[in-house]
Amino acid sequence: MRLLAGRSHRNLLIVAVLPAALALPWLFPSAYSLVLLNMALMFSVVVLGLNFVYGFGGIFSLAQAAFWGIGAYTSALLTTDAHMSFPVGLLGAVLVTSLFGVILGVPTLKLRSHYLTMATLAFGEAVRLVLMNTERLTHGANGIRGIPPAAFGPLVFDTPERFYYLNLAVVLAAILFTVRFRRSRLGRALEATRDDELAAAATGVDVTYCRVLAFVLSAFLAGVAGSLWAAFSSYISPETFDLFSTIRFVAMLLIGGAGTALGPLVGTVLLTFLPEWLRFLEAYYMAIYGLSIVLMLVFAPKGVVGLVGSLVAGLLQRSVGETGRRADGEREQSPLPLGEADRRAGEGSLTGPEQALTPTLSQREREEDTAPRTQDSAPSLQHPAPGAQPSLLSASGLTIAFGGLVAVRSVDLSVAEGEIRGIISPNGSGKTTLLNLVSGIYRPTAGHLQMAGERVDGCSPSTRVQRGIARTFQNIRLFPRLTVLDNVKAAKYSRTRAGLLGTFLQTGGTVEEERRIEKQALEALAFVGLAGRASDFPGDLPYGQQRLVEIARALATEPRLLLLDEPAAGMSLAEKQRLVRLVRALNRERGITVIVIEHDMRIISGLCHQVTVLNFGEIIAEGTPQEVRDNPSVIEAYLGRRSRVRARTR
Amino acid sequence: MEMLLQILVSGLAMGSIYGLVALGFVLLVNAADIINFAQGEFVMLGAFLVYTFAELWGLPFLVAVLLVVAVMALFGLVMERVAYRPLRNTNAVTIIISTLGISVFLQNVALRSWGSVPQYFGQPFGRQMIDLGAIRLVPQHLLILVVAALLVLLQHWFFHKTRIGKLMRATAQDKQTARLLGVNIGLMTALTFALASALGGLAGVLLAPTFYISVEMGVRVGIKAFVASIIGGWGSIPGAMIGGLVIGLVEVLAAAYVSSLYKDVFAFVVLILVLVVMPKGIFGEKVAQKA
Repeated sequence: MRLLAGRSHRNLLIVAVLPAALALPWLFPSAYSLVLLNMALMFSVVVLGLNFVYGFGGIFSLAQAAFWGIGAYTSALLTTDAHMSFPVGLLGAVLVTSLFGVILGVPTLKLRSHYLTMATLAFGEAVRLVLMNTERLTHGANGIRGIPPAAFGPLVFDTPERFYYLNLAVVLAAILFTVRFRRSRLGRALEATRDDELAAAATGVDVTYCRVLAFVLSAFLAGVAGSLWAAFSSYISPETFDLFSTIRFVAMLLIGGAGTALGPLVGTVLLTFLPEWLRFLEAYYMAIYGLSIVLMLVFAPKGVVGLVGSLVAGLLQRSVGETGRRADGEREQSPLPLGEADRRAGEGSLTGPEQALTPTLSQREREEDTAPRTQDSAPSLQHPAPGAQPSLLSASGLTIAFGGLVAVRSVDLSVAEGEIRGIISPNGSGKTTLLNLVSGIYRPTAGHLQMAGERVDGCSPSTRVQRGIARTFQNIRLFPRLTVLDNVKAAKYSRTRAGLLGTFLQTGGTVEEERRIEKQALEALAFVGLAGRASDFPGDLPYGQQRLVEIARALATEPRLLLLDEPAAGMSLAEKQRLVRLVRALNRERGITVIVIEHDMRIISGLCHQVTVLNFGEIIAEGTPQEVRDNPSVIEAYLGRRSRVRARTR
Repeated sequence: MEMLLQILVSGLAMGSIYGLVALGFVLLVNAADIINFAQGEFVMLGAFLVYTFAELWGLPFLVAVLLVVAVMALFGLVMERVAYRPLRNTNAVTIIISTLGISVFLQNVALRSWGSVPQYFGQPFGRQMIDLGAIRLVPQHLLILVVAALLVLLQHWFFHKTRIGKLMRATAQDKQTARLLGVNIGLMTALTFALASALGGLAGVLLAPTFYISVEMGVRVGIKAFVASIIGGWGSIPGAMIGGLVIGLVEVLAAAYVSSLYKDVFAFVVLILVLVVMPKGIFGEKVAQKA
């Protein structure tokens, strides 16, 4: 699909499709089908709105028809009972629906999955019933009659032909906005939230803002469509805006393709005209319509646009197989390659000599790496003397209890700027919990946490990313439906500022910022040696490379402190060697302080200046890798001893 | 006081219907992790079928009821094949919309087969009331209460005492483990569809004499039953019955003492209240959420 977005294709699209769209009213044989076409276009605006909530935000909302109804009623009441002009009605409609978007969006954030869906369902039904029963305002079941046609000053859209052009302009604007939103900072952040809320927060995305924004955008578009609907049909009544309308919108979105820019239009037109095309079946056409919905879902579960997209992608892949292979060749020349030759070179000991070297590392670094190193070799940097350097991260008395279980107990930790700190412990001793406390996924029960002299223990994960704390996850948490490049780009959220208006208008600042995001994300990928896999999806990458993408994503947040949670788990020996070099490089060249949790002692010894040992949530030892290894209580914690109880109370 | 008693009986009877339909919802939520929007249509279909068999074909009432159950169970199996099985590896929303397609299909088949004019079906008791001194009861309401109570006992026995019922529960609780233990997951899911469909059909048989039978009756009952299953607690079998009774009672009490115009609003007011006060419903979540 990405290939289709090329500039030449876009021009082709404009040259071929736009005149056809403009000529459409003359091509339609009957006035009735033109009315249907207008309805389809208005529905598609509602569905484009739903696409923001469900397609990009992953929230199954059943309130869309209610937003549409609120828009229609606001506009209708303003233009009839209040005698305002159509533009005022339209403006009022979008303001009121957007407000309801916030009202529904904020409290539903606390609810998850099906409870959220039920809350939107209850909201939708409540709105319909209020429209039905507040007779003095909404005229109840009688509905509102005599709504004037849409008009902007002297421009009156009073016939289906004229109205079609107004409609077309709105639909095109909405699609254009969808396309631009999807390729923007906000769009990536929303999709990241959909794929993995926790990981999105930990890469600096403001999850709350993104989800409320999705609701507001969906309500906004529904409001526009509602205002158009009222002006077009000149009569509205509450039963139009019921649960079944909403579900029809969801069906249109799914059949067209959720999360695509054209899917809403395709699905809407298809489902609006399908009953007409089935009329030759006479009596049973509506029954067949119901079955067709099932059949379309069975044969195109990703929607028509998704189906066409994968067909086109398949064809392109076959026809450009040559180029594809060339791209593979480039991939092998990329930094830190993972080719077969490299793997062979890496066989043997972790510290053995290496042939495959990364161009991103300095010559000095290279020499160091080629130099033979024994398992017990001291780290290449002397660890800073305690107190000599100001500490970047300091914890005092950090404690967290889950019910009666104290997972981390009054931990005092001080990590100096520029240090690589290892945290080791037997399994289940609170390492990951400690990391979750530092990155803000958990709030401590007691104790303080300071980052660069500022308290952060009350901050949300995304605020901590802004303060310079980034992390990776033990069980890889990439955004599966974003490409590798978009995964990394999503992490630029907290360092960028493009807003909705800039995104829609593609202002100079936004374009410039987007260019910078692209450049820095590619740099981060090149740094971990995965520039050649930018357009792949994370699921297509081997395990070890997925971990590297996580590191690139963390680096894209421009951290001062990087938390690595078992980065080498599941990696081959060669990959582990590369990981060690990578971490050392980002520590030295970029001055990033690192805290690493790892079970592989060779990695800890080869990497860390200082090691902290946890046992049962408490620190039992701290020092250089060598000191820690010789510490009797550490040996005891790992291997056990007969006099365990006495030793622990020591 | 007498009036209140009468209201309570009719509320409980309606509530039992909602509860039975909600039970069908819950069974499918547990077994297949989907919301079945065609559940209300099962009720409508059951009502029309019993009308056809008993009234038009002149079969004895009990034979007609057994036939309805058999046809509905068969329909459940077909629906699982057509609208669920091919989609079971996609996401829940896609399957929900697929059940909606089935719902549209059923409504229009019913419209063609039985027409848009509501039909009257009086069996087995007709419409006469029973006079018990001060109170007058509708015998059909009593029948609903008795049959619903029997069905609840029956399903409890089925799910806890029979082998196949236990296998179905195992499937609902943890598909993967059940599969590892050699349970035929596909078969259990298909049987659950058959059971949910048959339950819906029976509810239709019970409901038919209290209202006119119409194409739209399924939607009305379906939405109330859905609300009932939420109020009772997502995935909870006793919750579905209790939730149904709550909705039934709220509805008749509100119609009698507040306003019959606003009767339908109250079900949703209760829903919103429950979501606010007890977000997990009366009986909480039975099935651990799969993250």
